Amino acid sequence: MSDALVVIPVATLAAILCRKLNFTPIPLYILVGMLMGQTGIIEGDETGKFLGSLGIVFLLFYIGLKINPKTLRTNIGGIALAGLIDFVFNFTPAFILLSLLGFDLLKGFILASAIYISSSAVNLKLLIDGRKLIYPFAETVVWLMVFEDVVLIAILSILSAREILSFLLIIPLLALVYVIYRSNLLSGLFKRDDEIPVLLTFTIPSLALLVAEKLKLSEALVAISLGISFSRHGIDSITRPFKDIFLAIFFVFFGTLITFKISDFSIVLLLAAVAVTGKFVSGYVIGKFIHDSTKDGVEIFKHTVARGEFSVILSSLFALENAGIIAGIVLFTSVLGPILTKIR
Amino acid sequence: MGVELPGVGTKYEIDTAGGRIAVVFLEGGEIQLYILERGCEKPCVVNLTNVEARRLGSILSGAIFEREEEGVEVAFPQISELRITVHTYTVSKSIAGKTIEELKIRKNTGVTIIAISKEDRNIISPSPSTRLEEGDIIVVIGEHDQIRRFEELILGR
Repeated sequence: MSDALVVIPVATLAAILCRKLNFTPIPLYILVGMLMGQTGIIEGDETGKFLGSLGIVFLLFYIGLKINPKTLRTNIGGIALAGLIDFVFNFTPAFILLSLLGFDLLKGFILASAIYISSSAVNLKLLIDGRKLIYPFAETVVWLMVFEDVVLIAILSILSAREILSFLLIIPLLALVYVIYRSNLLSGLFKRDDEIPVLLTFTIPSLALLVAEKLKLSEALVAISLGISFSRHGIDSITRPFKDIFLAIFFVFFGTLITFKISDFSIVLLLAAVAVTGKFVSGYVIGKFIHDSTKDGVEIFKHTVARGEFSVILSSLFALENAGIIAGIVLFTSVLGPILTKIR
Repeated sequence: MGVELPGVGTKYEIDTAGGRIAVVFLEGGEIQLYILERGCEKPCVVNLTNVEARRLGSILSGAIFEREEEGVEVAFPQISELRITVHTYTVSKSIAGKTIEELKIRKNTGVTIIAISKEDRNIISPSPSTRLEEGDIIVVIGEHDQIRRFEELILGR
């Protein structure tokens, strides 16, 4: 029996349970995945793997769709300082610690990136459901998430650039993004009211997988680039259902791949502590400098501490053997964040 | 003046003497209305649907008597082929001051004015001698084509 047939209903149950409790489903997806992997209910077949990789490209395509180059240009200046503080206080300590622990430069870079990047899904939902959008700090958090998306593109480019040929391909890729964005390519087809817009919207991110494989680029980079290219067509509402389904499968499937070693436990604890402290310090500094309020700083900390989808994706694409460590950090912080926001 | 919040929606804010009001159009279509009274820590928040938000908007803009014109088509399941349209219009300057009789509404278009909402009162089944005034809302009933003729001939649209 195909893994996907088990994973989909289980993910659905997990989502219903979490949303009823007003909690993000991401940690539960990973936990049930781990459970099913450890007990051997799921052995990890090709279908599961394939659907999971669709989850990655659909999420990044969706993120790309939301990046509107025009609003980005007008707002990026205002958030750059906060974004840099966030990066410096969260990437650097993790990177240094990982080097001291004996990870090589590349592994250190990948894992530090995964530890640095917050979860847009969890944190934005916390702002909306917690009804925090009236406060100025909420704007800072939202734009920090956008800044992190841009940093993610840079990280993916660097990780793609390990082969010189792939690196050379990034420049034409960016040019292509610009050309498609400026042109009205396919816009007539997206406006039809038959099956064409849905089929087309499904095709583009799927093509990212194919192109990435052929050109030896990261599928994540190709997907997010294509998303930006088509961000003017208003197809996010068509993309969203695909993203939701495949991403749920991806998280559960990621969980099944984790082999948790007791020896990892202390490293997870140490890195989780660094992850939490980093966001606390960066939140505090941003609050102090940008809002002149340490109270806002603490709120920024609470609404950026949760790691999630991006950390899991980075680990799944580039550091699968360390999946246990990243999963541990994601589980810890994505549960901690929502709890902290409920404490006054 | 709206603040773009990617992944969340668009926020509009007003700072008043009494506090701050924010309206957030969420990407899912819902609208959050925040009111943060000066000196308060926590805002009051109400989630509105699109329709509720529009209604609130027209109340706040004082335009409740100039609300958008709307029409409904009524069909009765037992009587096939009978479709009646009921439509509201705001009386404009061009026809203000005249009576229903003077305008020859029924004779020329076939529609009937069944009610008039004036500033201070409502008139149901107005007599032909009722004078229309600018700003009155009239409720007109007729067939789809008659309503169209009414718009063309009487309202001059």
